Amino acid sequence: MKSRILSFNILMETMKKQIWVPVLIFLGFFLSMPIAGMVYLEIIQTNGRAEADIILDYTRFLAGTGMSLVTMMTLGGAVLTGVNSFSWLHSRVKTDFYHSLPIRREKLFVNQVFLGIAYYVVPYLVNLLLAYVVGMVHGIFRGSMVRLSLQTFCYHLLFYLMIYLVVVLAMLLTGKILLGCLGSVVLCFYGPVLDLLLQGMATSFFDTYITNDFFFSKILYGLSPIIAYFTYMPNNSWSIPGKVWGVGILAVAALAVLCFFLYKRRASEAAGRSMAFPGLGRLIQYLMEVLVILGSGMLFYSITEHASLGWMVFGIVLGGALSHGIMEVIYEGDIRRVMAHTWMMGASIVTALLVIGSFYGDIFGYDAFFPKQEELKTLRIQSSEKNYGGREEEAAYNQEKIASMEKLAQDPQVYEMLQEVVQNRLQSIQSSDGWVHRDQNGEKVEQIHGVEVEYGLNGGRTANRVYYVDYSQFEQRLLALYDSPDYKKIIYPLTTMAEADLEKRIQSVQVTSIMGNISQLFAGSNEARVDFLKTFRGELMQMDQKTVTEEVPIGCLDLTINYENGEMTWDEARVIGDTPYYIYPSFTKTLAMLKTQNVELPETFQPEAIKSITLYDFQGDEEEEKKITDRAKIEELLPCLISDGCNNGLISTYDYELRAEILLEEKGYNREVVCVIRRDRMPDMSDF
Amino acid sequence: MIQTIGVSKKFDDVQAVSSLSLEIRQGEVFGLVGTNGAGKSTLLRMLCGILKQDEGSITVDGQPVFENESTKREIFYISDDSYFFANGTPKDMQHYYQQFYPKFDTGRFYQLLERFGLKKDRKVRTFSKGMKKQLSAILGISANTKYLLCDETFDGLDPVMRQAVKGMFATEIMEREFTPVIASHNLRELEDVCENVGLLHKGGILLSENLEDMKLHLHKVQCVIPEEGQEKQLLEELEVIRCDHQGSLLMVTARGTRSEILKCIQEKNPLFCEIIPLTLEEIFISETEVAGYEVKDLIF
Repeated sequence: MKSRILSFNILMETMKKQIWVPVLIFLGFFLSMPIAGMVYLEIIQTNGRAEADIILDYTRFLAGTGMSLVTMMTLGGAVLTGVNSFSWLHSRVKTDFYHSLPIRREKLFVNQVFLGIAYYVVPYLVNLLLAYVVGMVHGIFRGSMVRLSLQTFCYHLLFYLMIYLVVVLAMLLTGKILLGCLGSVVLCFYGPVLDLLLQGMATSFFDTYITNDFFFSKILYGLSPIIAYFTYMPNNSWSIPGKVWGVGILAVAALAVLCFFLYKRRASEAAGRSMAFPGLGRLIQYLMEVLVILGSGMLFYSITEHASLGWMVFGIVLGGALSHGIMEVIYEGDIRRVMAHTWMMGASIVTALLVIGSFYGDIFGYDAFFPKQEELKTLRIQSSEKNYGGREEEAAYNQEKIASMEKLAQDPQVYEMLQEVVQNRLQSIQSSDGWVHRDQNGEKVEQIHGVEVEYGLNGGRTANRVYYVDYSQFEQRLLALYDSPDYKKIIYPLTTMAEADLEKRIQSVQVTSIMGNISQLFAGSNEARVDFLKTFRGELMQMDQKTVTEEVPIGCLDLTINYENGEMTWDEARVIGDTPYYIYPSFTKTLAMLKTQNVELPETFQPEAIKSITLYDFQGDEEEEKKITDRAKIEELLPCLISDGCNNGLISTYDYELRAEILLEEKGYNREVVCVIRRDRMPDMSDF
Repeated sequence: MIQTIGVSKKFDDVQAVSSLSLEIRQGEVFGLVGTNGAGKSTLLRMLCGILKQDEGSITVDGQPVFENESTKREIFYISDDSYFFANGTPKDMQHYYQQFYPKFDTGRFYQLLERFGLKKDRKVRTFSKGMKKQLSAILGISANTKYLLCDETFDGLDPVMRQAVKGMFATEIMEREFTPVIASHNLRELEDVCENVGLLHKGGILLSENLEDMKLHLHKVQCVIPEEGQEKQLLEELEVIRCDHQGSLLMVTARGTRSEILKCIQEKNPLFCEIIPLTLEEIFISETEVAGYEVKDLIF
């Protein structure tokens, strides 16, 4: 093979002198695939599992997703080949040798990158083939394994290329091997670390901030190929979104072009210098210094008890001096030049101050944001405790849910309530007691409640905010939302699922008795399960504020979502599956259907099984504790008990703060259950 | 022919080569001499396309060198610190170079290896410094290129091997189109082998001439002129580079042919007059002194 760019002979000669790299990678894959596969099959086949499950497990094994050996090989291989491919650029002797040869630099680059890819692809595919043979020998090989494992191979390859090219980029930008390795770490993690710092600042300085709300968070995270590799990895679903492929391929192409361009521009004399491109080197120094200063400022701000601004300034100055000194020593290679280019340190400190100042003073009006009703297209409101730790993924919105969100946005009463919520939101202040919430008059509020709002604006942009309010002030108006069918459609994804999807997408239903410590699968046929779900969601839609205020949930449904057929994304499945679906005593049809399946949901504990109830009251300055063993008093308390963590839309047990530890004796065994008690339903403690 | 016109190269704040113009004709053995840091290695690295000049042009047979595959196929560069693959053997190196130099003469390579007593399968890392230099020279010769750029190649070679390598160069010059460019501090070695010499100083070229011409136009004279006025007149008439007195003995290094200088001295009725031939080393010292690089300043 002889082309203008690739030359088989040159490839072979180059590979001969780097032979340890492909050998090492081959060995790694050999241990990770056929050998580990044999061991894995030995383990799972002796457990008496169904053949279908074994095939599925082995297919997953071959896919090598999650924190698997294949993933580790991909990461390690990319770093190893990346460093190996271009580390010679850091040695003057080697650079002179290669650049004196009669070969154009682009040819040298392309041949080296080609080998870098081949070192991964060939060992991977050969060992995958061997792993198929292992599957055949064990009689579990199926054609679908090939399709799925090759699909995930493409995913691994995409991110291998991305990480490999980032390491190559670091090698090209630097002139010393150690700096090249450090540069790889910086390029791989700068974005996520910056995002973490910005989010930390938002959490510290904004009262209404919700995790991951910044539009640039995804971009900053995406700047790290390693984070992106794990984020988009098809852990539980075979489907990889088209945009991941699109963005991934574009990123690889852009990195390849950038590396190619930089390699052509890189002077041979850069070998041995700290940075190969002095101008770029100063830019990288500036960006690094700003990051360290931000981190140092926030570290000193947060470790002190009272979130002191003075300590923050100290952290900024210290971070500036340290980071600048270290970078200068690295760049200049001379400890005496530790304070050279002080203008750079000044610029970095000023930049960091501007960033922190913009958060501290909220100069972009993050907390003050509240759109006019005519600007609103959709609205979603829910309890912050129900939140999954971030924004609800757009993938979880179907047309019916969006329609309900649009109706909610147009409801003047809801908008008016929201306006009041915004006006009366509490301020978070760090004190010696930790974070406390204070109202407009500066009074400390104990019974706080987070109202999480997603504003869908006319332009297509969404904004998420959480407002902490005095629950007693807004309880009735928030609970009134349960009278709105649209509100329920928004917070219960089950209610907006198409009937066909109930059978196709919901794989199983688990029913848990809150008081009875029983959890079992709904054992009926598919049709019976669909009928049951339709009945349940019918009663869910009938539920109103009276139900949630006067009744206590007695059971809960956990839905297992089938997303492996690729019809649903992981995020969508997560939102549907993680939403708690409570069964109230008034859900008579649901309870009757469960009874036909021999599932009983007791409304409370059997009084005779309770040995004691210990009450803890955390409100007030001192914790109060009382142990109750008297049978009459126990029976009086029973109707008030709610299982701990029972969280239903805008109601959360965390609002009540009265804890009850119940010691039960069942069938000769002791068991302890933790419940909470609504303060307004609690009999006078002095009676106990 | 290698031609550089107004070539400059700067490393950060250091001007390594400054507006250097030079011609190396085909078939001649060209020696590059110069003070430490004069820019000899930088010039060679630019001539073989490792470095790109900041200013000026470098052409080999009328073609630019940098990133020009076909031109570079006619140039082989032997670095002062040559690179050999880790665990590589002479055979491995030959295989590798063969991919890039299409005229690589494998037969000649093995023949020369044998002549120099180097084993083709022995790991290069076990070679002595001198053996590595020999191997580099053998690879350079076997590559069969028109131009061979040698940076301090003779350093580290014992006298026998030095003669052997010189002989190898001489054979090549006799047998084919071959132009070695040799940079060295060892001026005596260059004197034996070079026809033309380029004298580099502080990044610029002081002179580039045929060594014999250089010797013909620079002479050292020892004489005794009895009259002080005539001695003064003599020094004014000659293009004096260096002048010393030892008692009444006048020692002058001056430009000009032997006959021109002799004629001038004879007119001053000397009591004694002798012309001593200059070695390349003396020419080098004299010329660099003119350029402000005086040996006496370096002796503490």
